[in-house]
Amino acid sequence: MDKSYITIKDLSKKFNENKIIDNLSIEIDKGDLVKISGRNGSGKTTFLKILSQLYTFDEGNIFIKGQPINKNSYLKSIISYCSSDSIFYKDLSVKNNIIFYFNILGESNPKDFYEKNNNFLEINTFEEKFPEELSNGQKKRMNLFRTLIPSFEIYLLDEPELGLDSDSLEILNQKLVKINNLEKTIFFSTHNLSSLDIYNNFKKEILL
Amino acid sequence: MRNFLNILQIIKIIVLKDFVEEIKSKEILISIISYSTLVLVVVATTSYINNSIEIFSTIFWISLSFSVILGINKSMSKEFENNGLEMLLTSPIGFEIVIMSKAITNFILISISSAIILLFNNIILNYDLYDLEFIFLVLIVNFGFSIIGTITYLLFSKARGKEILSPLLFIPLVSPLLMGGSLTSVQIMNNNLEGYAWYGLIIAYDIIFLLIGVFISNLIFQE
Repeated sequence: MDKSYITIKDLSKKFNENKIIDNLSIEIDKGDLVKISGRNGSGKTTFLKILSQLYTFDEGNIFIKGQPINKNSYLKSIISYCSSDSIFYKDLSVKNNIIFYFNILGESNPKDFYEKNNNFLEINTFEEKFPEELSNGQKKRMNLFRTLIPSFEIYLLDEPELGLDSDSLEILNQKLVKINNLEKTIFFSTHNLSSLDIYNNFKKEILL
Repeated sequence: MRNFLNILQIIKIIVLKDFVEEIKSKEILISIISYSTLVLVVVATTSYINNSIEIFSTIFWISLSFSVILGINKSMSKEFENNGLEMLLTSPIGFEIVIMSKAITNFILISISSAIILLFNNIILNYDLYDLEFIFLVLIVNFGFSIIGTITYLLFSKARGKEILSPLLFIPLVSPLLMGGSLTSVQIMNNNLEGYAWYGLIIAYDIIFLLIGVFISNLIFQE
């Protein structure tokens, strides 16, 4: 059994014959802030999708809390993945999209949980709208709300600052500081380190 | 037992989500009902066909199966538009539950459409098909349509020509259901039902494909 919180050993992933991730090994401790860097197409999103179990990998091993990540429902329940794309059902309102997600996460009272937190990123100002009526920044806020408000142990954030205005960036920064102070592990990919203050405190870096 | 109740609860949540979406868009019901009704109206206007129970029965099942393709494609494509499916795949629920939930949604929507199509049959062609044996037959065939349609759509979901490839596989796979449905409905309409062998075969066929869906769910969803 590995002692570290997350152990990645000789991880490789290829699409067709194109090797995206090649023999990546790293150990991550609980509460680490991990920066994932690399050029466009270097495999940052692929790496995050592997950790979220959306993608499988070809070689190597990943253990989180000593458990292999392959088809592991428990690990899914402790990992939050915030994609750089907007994820939503177009025929559900913003509020219903979020409540639906809280529901399948197993929140005991998803509506109340939503109502208690709906001032985060000022989601309540456009909660009755449908996602296709929103700007890109508002869609991003909806995704961040959905993935940051419930309590997880590991957060995978794929360019979370993209499309946000300065006020929202400040709120996001405060939220991530709060999450990190609770000893939660955060992985983030970004091309702009100066966009969020917390980015400068990263403890480990994965260069792809 | 608690696990089983949890699974039922998750299926209920996903099916309800699909219904809230359908109440807003009405795309699935409209596509199934309008296509089937159009075919029936065309049949009704050709009076010599109108008198043949055999031909009516065949046309009913063929029109239903083709319109079901439209409905299931619409229903499944909603999961892929804007990556909504990612919400389900990153949450702590099994992939097999996603397939079962979508199949149940499709089954309920197809069954509602079938009830309305049968009502139109009653009005347009003057065939009274509100008979318990016929309704049960329609339900078990519909379940087969929905599980096979869900699987075939998902199998080709990452292919460029999925709207064409999925029906190409769907139609041959539902042929036994169409044969059973068509032959048995002729017998029912003639008040001459010769046993329940087809019912058993159709139910067995449904169960086989339900199990196939559960077993291949990991292959379908993981990249």
